[in-house]
Formats: sequence, structure tokens, C-alpha cells
Amino acid sequence: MAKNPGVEVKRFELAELASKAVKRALTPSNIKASFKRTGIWPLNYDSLMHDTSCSQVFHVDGQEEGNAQIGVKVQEVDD
Amino acid sequence: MFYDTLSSVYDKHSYRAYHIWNYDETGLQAGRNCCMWVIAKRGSENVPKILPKSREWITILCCVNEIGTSIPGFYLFKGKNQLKNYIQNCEPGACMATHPHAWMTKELFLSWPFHFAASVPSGISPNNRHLLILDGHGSHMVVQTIEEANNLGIDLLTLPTHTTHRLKPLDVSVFGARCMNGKESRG
Repeated sequence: MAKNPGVEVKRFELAELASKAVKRALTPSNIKASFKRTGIWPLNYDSLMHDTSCSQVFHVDGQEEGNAQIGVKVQEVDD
Repeated sequence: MFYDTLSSVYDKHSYRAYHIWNYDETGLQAGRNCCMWVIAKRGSENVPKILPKSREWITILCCVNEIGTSIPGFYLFKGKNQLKNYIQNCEPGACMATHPHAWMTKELFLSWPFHFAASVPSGISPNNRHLLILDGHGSHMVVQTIEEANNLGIDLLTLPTHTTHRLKPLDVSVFGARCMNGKESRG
């Protein structure tokens, strides 16, 4: 789409484009990788353990209490 | 926990890899990411964008299994009546339907198990059951659909809420990749 600006897309053309894009994305290796990554097959309880945890609020040391800066720190979850 | 449920379902039915399917729908709109260049006087404060007129929206229903097979798409178009065969250039076996908003509804999802059963390459029967993992969207969870799916030999398993970005295979890799390719395509 980015290479053909201003070209109007008809309904059947959109379906054709979508079909091509889906065909390119649905490669067997891509699909297999996604099942493995989610731990659905093979069943893997720990597949999500290496994910980044939620953001945590922390106070910067050395600041006065009333004037403390609040930052956001992202921590990796250890096994 | 979701994995415990999954494990118990695997134990109960002893599925093979090609019995595990994942289903999701995705939308695609024409006229995105295709702005034209606009010539304006230097220093102009209001420079409008030019976008194509077409605001066509379609929804595609995709389904893949663990060995990398996908069943032909189910295309949802906006409109009341089917005037033409819009999917003549799509993959063989694809289906189309129309809906006033091109959204997934309970009524439309009723026909999905039949499309699935007709397209499954390894065959399906109440004794040769398949597991379909999908999200808990309201249109999926209808008693009639679940009964029909059960009679055809499809076991439905929904993912926990707010976890599909990590747990649903199609969301994790495939739809990200599809969006990337969609930008490169002509249109």
C-alpha cells in the first residue's frame, strides 16, 4: 500500500491483497514457532517465564522525601 | 491455570499435533499507510493529508494447526447482499459472507464449524476429534455453536482473558507478520 499511494482499492482487490498477505504470513515455520512460543504444543508450563514483568514504580535514592523523583524500571523475571 | 486445563484436555483425548488448531479473526482496512505527497508553501501551518476515498473494511477468519497447515480463510465483507464473488482471486476453498458492519457475530460464527469441518485435511468425526483454541469473544460462546461443534467433533477451548497477546499462537507471530506484509503489498 505504501508503494502505491492514492490508488483506490476495490473490494475484491482488498480480499486478494489480504489473501496474499495471509498466505505469506502463514508459513509452516511461523505457525510452528508460535505454538512452541506459547507453550501450547509441546506443552510447556515455563514458556512465559522469561517474559518481561510489568513496570514497577521506584524511588530514586538520595532524593528528599517530598521531592522524590518517580521513575519506571523494567525488571526481568528470574527463573 | 490455563496450562493445567490444557494438560487435562490432552490427557483426556490424546490428540496428535495436527489435531490442535488455533482460530482468530483479524481486520484489514483499505487506505491505511498510503498517504500521498502534498506540496505546500514553506511555512504553511495547515497542510492537509490526502487519503484515498475507499474505506473498505474486511474481516478475515484464520485457523492454523500445529504442523503448520491452515484452512482457507473466511472473508467477511461489509454490506447486506452478496452482489459479486469478491473472493475469486483468493485461495481455493475460501468462503465469504456479508454483514452490515463486517464484524463477527453470533449468527455468523454458527457457520464457522461447518466451514472448518469441510476444510480440515485430515478428516473429522466424533471419534476423530480436533481441539480448537480460541479467545473468549462473545460471538464464540453460544450454546448452539458449542453443541454443533461438539456434534461435528470439535472441542472448543477458550483462552483466559487479557492473555491472548502472549498465549494465542496467531496473535503471537502470525498476525504481526501479516501486518508487515500487508504494508508492502500493492494497494
